[in-house]
Amino acid sequence: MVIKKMLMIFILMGLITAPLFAADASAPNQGIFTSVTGKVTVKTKKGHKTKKAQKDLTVSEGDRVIANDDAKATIRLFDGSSLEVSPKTEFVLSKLQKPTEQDKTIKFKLIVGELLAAVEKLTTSKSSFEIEAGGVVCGVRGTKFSMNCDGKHNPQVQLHVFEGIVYTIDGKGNKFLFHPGPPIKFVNAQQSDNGKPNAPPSGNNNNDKNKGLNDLNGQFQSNIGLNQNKTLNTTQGGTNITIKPVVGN
Amino acid sequence: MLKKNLKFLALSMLMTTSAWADGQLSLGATYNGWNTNYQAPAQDNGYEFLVPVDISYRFAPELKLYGQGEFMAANDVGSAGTYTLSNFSDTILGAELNFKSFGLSSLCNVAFNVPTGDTSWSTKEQNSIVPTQFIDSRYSGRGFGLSAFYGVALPEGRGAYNVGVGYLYSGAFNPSYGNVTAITALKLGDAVFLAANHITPYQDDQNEIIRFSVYQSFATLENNQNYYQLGTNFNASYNWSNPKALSFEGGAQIYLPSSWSTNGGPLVTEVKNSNGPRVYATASYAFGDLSVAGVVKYIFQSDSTLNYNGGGLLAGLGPTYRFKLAEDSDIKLSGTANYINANNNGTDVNGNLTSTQYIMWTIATAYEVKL
Repeated sequence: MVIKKMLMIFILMGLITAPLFAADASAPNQGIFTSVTGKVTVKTKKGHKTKKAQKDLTVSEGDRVIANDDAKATIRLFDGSSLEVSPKTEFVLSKLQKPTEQDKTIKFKLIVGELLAAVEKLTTSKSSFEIEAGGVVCGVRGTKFSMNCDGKHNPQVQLHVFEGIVYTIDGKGNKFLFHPGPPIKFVNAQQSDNGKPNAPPSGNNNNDKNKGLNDLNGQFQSNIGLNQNKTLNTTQGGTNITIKPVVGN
Repeated sequence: MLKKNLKFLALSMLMTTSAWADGQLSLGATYNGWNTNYQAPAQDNGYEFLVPVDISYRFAPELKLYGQGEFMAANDVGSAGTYTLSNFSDTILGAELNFKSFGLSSLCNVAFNVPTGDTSWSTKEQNSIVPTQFIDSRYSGRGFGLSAFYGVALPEGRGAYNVGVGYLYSGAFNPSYGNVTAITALKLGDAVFLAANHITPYQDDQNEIIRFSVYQSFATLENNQNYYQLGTNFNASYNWSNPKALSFEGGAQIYLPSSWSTNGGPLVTEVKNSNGPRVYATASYAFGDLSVAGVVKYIFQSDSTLNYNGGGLLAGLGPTYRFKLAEDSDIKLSGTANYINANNNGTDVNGNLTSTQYIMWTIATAYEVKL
């Protein structure tokens, strides 16, 4: 009985402390490959060396990761977040920083391909987890989302939110929040999907496909106001011009 | 129980918001002032201070709810004395639904006019403000009303034809104030609206819109009897919009003769049309966050001997500047000066009809933020 109890306590303690050990598996400011399939290479910022990625290889800020056509990999970051790298993907670990015990700044620049991020909760306002692609920056507050970029001159970027909330800053600096839902597409760093929110106050709705219908509806509302006022003034003003004041020189 | 249900409904709607959930709030402050060349005792002038509020929220890609209202404080000095107002205007509550009908993009809008305004104000202000055929009243104090609009878009090349139909139900209006014509109960006429436009998009958010619409008013009732019917209103306009450079619009508006009833008898079409045709042109140019807009409107003199028949000219000019505060909010500042020449709107010392001139100026600001 006592042994059983001890065993349970041991298991529970193991479960509680497991994430701590897992997060420590990669040192601060580093990530570590937890799985690699196919040919994945890492071009290091320091020394400009090219390494073949394999399980337990560490990556640091500034490193560039390239996954070939049939390759894929998973990287766990120092904070416990993970990044799934899809085939035909190239990205740079722009920022992997842990300035204080609580704060962390993580940013990737996606050149082409797709990244799926599962992000550990950010506990301070100074912390951020962002992916930039084709002029669009997506950041999170503890969630799961993917970002895809076709890598062309005028890139198409697709964001897919699975859990939590993702904030997005487009090429014009407009900021949007996205909840889980269908994928959202960006072309030339501007959102292009039907689900696009209203333009920000400084923008305009000219891309709205219902612009013509909204215009008609606006005309109707405007005519109501105008013609009702006209009727009111006529009926309440009597059948003659009520008063014609004297006009000056 | 009802409160609980409402809370649950609101929470459910908030919880189901998804990638497309968004909204916008606009809170403004506007000052209007005007003066004329009238002489005492009819030194018409006045000012208004308005605080308009617009709020909209899209709970789903297909559904947007919105509300509009304003508070107005006004001081109008007219030939009938000085009137003051400090009241809310009517409140508009509406819902806009985008959906597919007959396989075509469609829009349905339903709006309620909630009578939170002062229904006596339109009578009080009419002899001191700039005639509303030049500049429409900034205040709405009417009875309950309901309007519904349904439109469909018919794709054509890269553009689209849009056609729509609207209906206005106008509830009872409280006309107890004034009694100029011994009105004891007034119900403004219902109306049907038919409209079509053609929109062609061009690069860099430029658009060309050609519009045509007909607004048919039904009879306005006094004590449940026919009293007045505004003539059918035809509108046509051409619009070119370029948010980064020159935008302009030109249009024309024609009214058929109105009809009147005497002592509840049948409506009789007036022999001479009391509403002359009118044409207008507007233009604006955007220099980044700064834009300058101008308007010219001309109303041809009508033949009416019953109502105001002078017609006249409106010319206005004003700048707008938008300060960006953050990614999702900004402040808009604007100013406008309008000159109005109203033909035959006054009498000279010999009692002959003569023109009057008005100057009206507006200074406005609005804080706009995405929700």
